[in-house]
Amino acid sequence: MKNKILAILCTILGLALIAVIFLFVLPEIGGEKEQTVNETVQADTSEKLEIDPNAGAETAPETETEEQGIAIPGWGSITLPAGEKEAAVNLENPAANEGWYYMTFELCLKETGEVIFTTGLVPPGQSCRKVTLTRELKTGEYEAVIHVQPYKMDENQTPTNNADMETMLVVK
Amino acid sequence: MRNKKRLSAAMLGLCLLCGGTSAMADADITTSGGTADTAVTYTVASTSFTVTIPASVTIDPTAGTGTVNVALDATNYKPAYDSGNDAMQIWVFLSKAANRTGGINYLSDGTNKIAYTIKKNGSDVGIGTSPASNAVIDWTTRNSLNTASADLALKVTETATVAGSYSDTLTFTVKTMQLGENDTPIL
Repeated sequence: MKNKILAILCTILGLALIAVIFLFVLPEIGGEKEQTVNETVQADTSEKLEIDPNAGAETAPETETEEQGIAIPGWGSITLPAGEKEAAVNLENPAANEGWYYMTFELCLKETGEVIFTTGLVPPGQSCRKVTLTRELKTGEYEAVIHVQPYKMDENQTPTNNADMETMLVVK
Repeated sequence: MRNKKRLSAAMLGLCLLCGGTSAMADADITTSGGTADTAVTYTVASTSFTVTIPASVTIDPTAGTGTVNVALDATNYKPAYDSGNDAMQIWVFLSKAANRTGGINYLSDGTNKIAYTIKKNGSDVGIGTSPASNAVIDWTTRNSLNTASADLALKVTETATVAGSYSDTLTFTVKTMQLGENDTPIL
């Protein structure tokens, strides 16, 4: 009988203890967390944001220097000596191309496309004054084309648009 | 005294001889009142003209359009013929577009292509050196101005699907021709 009563009392006490825990202890712990969170939020909002040192006014992208047109010289005719392989010429890269374009010149017969001479790079404001022909020529007049190829004065010597000058080759 | 006379005569003769020689070298006039012809020559070189072409095909990537200029300066051009009633004609043609295929101009990045047009005064520019109506510049020595200029309008006609740098290479051909009476070509 006594044992029964004792057991019942222990059970009641245990249940009461559990109830106390649920009713009083756990809410207290939750309240502390909330308080901690609230304190943290208050701490963040109280720090002042600063302007990013890399921010600045919006700027338009840099545009490349406007490309200058290429001055190509033209001739009504060009004269070469008959029976010789060395010839005096005056193939000018106009001074207007100064700072912009080198130029090469290649003379071909229009009918056959045969190359008669090719120069190296001629700087602007200078002329190629002597060429070596691929063969000796016979006296006469021939329709010819001088192919003028400009190159940008950059490290790549980039070829640009080019020109074919139709001209009369006079051999005498 | 006699020696002095001889010396003076010799020197006078020498002077006459030198003067005579000089006169005879330039124009041999041997009689009083006579005349002689001497040729005076002045060589006028067939000087050059200048054509200015665009260095590259430049199209604004945002607008998809661009303008390039072709110009002729014939201020110093003196054709090697007796102009008289004749004239000299200079044409500038757009003779080649490196990426042109099937009658369409293309910009290329080496692998991909974008079609574009080249127009002058709203009309497509014919690629090639004929007919004469294809010329972007058509000038004769009869023109009152020694210069001529043409603007070519470029326009991309399709959207690129691959980002990159696209370009084309143009070749301009310059032709000259002597014109006779009524501006007919002298072949």
